[in-house]
Amino acid sequence: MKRTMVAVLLAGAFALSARGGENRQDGFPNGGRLVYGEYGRPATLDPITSNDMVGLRVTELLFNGLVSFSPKNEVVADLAESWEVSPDNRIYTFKLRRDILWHGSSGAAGRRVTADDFVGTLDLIQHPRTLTPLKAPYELVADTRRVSEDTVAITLKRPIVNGLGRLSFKVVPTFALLNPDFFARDDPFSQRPVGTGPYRLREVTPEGDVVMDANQSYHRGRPHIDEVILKPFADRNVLTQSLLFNSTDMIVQLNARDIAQVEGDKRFNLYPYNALSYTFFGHNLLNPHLRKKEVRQAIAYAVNRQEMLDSFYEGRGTVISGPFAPGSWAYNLDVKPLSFDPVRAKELLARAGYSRSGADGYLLTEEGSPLEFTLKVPIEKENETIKRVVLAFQNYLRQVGVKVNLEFREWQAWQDDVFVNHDFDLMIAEWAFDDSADISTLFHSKETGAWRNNFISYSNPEVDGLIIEAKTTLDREKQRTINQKLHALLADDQPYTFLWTVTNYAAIHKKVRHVDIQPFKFFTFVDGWYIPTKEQAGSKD
Amino acid sequence: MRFAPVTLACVLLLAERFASASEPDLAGARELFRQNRWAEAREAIASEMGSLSRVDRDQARFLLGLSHIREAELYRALSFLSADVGLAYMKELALSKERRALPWVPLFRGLYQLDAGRYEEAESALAEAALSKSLTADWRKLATARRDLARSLRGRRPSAVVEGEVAEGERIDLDVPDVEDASDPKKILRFFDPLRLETLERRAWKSALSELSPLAKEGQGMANKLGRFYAGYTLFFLGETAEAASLLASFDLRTLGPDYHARVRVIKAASSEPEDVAALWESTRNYPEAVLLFNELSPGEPIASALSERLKALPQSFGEPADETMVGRWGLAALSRGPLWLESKEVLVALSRYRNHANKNKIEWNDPLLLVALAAANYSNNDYPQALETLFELAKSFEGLRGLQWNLQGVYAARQKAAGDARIAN
Repeated sequence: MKRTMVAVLLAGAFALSARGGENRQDGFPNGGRLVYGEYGRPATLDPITSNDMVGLRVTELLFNGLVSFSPKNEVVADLAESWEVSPDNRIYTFKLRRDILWHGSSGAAGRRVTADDFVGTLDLIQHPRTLTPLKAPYELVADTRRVSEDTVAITLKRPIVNGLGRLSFKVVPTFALLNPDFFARDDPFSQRPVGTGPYRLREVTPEGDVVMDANQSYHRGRPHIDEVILKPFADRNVLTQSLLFNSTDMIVQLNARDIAQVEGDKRFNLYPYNALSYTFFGHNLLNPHLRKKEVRQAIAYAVNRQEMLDSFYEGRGTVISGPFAPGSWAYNLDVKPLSFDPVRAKELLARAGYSRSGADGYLLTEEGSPLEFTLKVPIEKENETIKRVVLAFQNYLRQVGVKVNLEFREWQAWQDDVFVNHDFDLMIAEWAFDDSADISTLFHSKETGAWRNNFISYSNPEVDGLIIEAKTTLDREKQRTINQKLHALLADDQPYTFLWTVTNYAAIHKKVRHVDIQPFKFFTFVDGWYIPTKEQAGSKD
Repeated sequence: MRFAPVTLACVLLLAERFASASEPDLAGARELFRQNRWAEAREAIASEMGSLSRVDRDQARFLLGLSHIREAELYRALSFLSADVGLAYMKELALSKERRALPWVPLFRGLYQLDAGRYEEAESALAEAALSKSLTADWRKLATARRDLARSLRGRRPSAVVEGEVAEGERIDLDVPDVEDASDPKKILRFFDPLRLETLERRAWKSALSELSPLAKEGQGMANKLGRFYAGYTLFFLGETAEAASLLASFDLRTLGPDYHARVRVIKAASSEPEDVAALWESTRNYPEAVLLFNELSPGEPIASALSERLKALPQSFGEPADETMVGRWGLAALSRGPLWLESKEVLVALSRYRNHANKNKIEWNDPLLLVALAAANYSNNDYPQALETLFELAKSFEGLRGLQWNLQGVYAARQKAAGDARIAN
């Protein structure tokens, strides 16, 4: 069979790497410690069940995939050393590197990564009992086959845009799981993971610090920095203080209000990056009142988003109109954000059947009870800024006769309420996207189970149809048109009250050099970062 | 807090010279100008003009002229970026082999090449479009006219483009594309004539000239001197090199700073036999304003060819500009030399150093020229989201950016290779 040879021996080309297990050839010193602060702790440390950005970033330190991305966003080899694509663009055959060993001191330690691990990982993701947000993205895989110990063939159901990039999933040692067939969130592996990445887990301290050591036999060459520690914080203000008082060397996402202060501090560099993120209020459509489009639209009209952004974020962001960030290729520039118009909000509520008010001024439902919703806020969001946002939201809705009860929940409990039990009326959160602008898991009606991203139970046949078309077309211009159509439809339907995208900056101590940030996964190039020898003093206890 | 600058310095200089002027009348407009809200500054002046004294009117007129110059420079920068992005988008469309797009690609590729000053390539692409049976007679006619224009411009300065070519004065919705093929509602194709940005630039230069010319003729003291200088500067960008040099021929530079000296020398040299090129370059190379003028010279002219190698070393200067408010103008100088200048991460880092990070895309806090240069540097480094985000904010204050945004979105859509991941950010 004629095959098209596509790639590539670029695994380390962009990183000036050495062969696995050797020092890198870039002339920079090894040593030192990097402590980075995150807003909230990752619920799990494995790449299968992790569903948040904190988890995504830490798994980028601990795991690898077949392919990765260069600083110019080109797909490059990672654990694969080359690949071939069949002429019909359905079968991807990867030749694996033979020098990749699993981390750790347990049963996996020192075992070589083989084709079986990739077959096992994809089987795991697709197993009905594995609860993972990766299920939908990898439904496109029809078959995964071990060709030999070092060769794996992945067959797609149909050719897709970015086939190679979409096969960049992280591989796990399935033999190290309690049950190698599926992945339960309570599997000890999710807290004691074993990977192949530039760093390997040493321990999770009682305070929740995730301590990682450089992988001495890393295939792109030993990472320069000896030790990386993730330090979780529940309050953004404290997070910034930790940087200013030298408890941390880096904050992944600096509080927008603190940018000016850190900018003025000569010890730090600021690195802008665009994770294509936005903040929103999600409406649970299992609630009969929120199922009415007029009510959702009324909420959007009732809220003065620009005023909130100006007051609570000092204007450091942009109000958005729909389900994409303004930096995305899918953002529909013809759709303008809904204006602040409480009169229109009241009209819409009246049209939806809420025109009678009770003695307390709140609108009444048909049953005579107040029109009220519970807004669930993760406790990590319990900082001054977000408190002001939700209090303002509560007040705006009071002005149009809608009662909002605030309920702050610990992060894990909030995730259970939102992602598992769908026990909320309104919730506030932020989405971040990679370059693909793929919103299918957020709004397709089939994505509504536990730990799936359509936790609001949104269902719109027209949206479903467009999502499927966008996913299946190989035509990128068509994909753009469809996504922009989706933007317009969802802006009208308001399953979320789309709020804003805020300025993303990482703040990093100047002692850390050669910093290159991948906007979505952040740590993709961390193995090339270094700390000059003279500035490593004090890095180690 | 950093505000843009060079021209602000002129405004302040003028204000100082006219200390007796009734300050409060113009203070609001000057503040708006300082915040780069040029159109609002003009509106504020328009409402005051009738009640101003002669001296204040001269100041107001000067401020109006400078606000138009700043806007012209901004559209010039956007036009440079637009040409690069437009050509990249045409390339992606050609690769896609989309049947409906193919007839339009040679035409718009030619238009963007014309915009980029690549006249020979433009002539060839437009000649192909002029013969295309897939285009309507109107579009073939336009292709023919632009082909002739490209032919006539060979060897001439890029800024001499489109005199008489663009219908001016008519206000249109600049967000509406020139071509929209929605025959397949699932795949809408849009094309924007790049001449829109150039038209906006030329309108701004002409508006500047109409405000500054009276000052150059009848203004008093410093108003006359600065009016004359900037009228000459404006004429140079309108392609009237000889007239510009003539206006500046007997110009008394004694009370003005060295950057004025540098610019006058370049303008004079451009219109006549060059003086010692090496000496000219050495005496002017540290002034971005002068370098901008060098960039205007045709590649065929002796000065330009002699200086091209030296210009290539310029990005190194970003790190240590003599005056940090000049960074945006260095950015424009780099932009006008082509995208290769901005591919270097070092240039991006150097430009970023002068951004107000807390308000990173706000014109009130950043020189708009710097923002365009940053967007271009992000684009050249494949960081499309940052570039789009910056343009999104600029488009709130300046019209005519939609074509650039559309094309950049198209390039990004075609080149992105991501996996399809979405995560909750806690």
